[in-house]
Amino acid sequence: MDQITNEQALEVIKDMIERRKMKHNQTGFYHLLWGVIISLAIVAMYILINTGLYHLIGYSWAIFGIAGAIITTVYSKKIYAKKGGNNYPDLGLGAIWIGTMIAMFLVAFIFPYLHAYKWQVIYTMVCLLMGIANISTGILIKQKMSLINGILWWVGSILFLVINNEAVFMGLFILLLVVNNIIPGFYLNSLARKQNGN
Amino acid sequence: METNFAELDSIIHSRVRLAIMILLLQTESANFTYLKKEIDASDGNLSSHLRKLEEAKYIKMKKSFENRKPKTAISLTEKGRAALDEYTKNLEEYLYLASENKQK
Repeated sequence: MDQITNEQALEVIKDMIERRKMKHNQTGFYHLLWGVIISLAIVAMYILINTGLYHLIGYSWAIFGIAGAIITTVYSKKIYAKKGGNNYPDLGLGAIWIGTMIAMFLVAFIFPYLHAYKWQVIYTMVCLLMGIANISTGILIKQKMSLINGILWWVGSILFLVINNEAVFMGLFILLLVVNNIIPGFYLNSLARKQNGN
Repeated sequence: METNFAELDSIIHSRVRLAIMILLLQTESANFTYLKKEIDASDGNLSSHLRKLEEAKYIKMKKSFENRKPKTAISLTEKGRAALDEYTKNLEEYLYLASENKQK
């Protein structure tokens, strides 16, 4: 029979909880994807500003945002089908990032379109949202790196309000993306690969 | 040393069934392949344990079709959640008593 001692039962419980913890590192793809998406949106924004096409800034954010949302949804579905089950932290993470995507669509497209603020404020708003998403992710999956990333995004959101130079704006934003998304994305992916033994 | 095995729910007190219950506790719902992979159990073994848990109404298995393929979503019931809660409480108590006895 399959009966066990009480000590073995405790080991089974610990083992099952540990297994789930390891899966939390598979968030690298989202860090990388959103790092690349926002970088492209920033470059597009820079080009549009320098060619005088300010009125198209919101549309470029919307296009990149929708592309990111589609890739995120397709990838999540693929991962879910492959795994066959989603734990509660995974569901929480999904909710945080989908909420962030919707909020980004509002702050980078709808609000500027309605003339709620100047286009420069988009940087600050995007930084604030990225900060919220990263800090929530860090708390949920107990990952210090995401917490630090979130704080850096918030520091960035203040800096964008005091900097007036547009080239410095873009440089700072790209730096934040590399430090906060691209590097952690590669790091988390390699960690997940190691833990999965491939 | 006095043991209290009788207080532990015998339906849960098995390696595979306990592992299933703990996994489902952390999951909204899972399919057969997912549980099989996480628990390292054979098809037959896992099926028989799932049946036992279902008979006790600790889990529910919802069958459906996706792209013409059969799909089973397995999740914990409220009764199962309460039973697991009771089980872990009793286990904790037992292990505490065992460590106290060891120290004496």
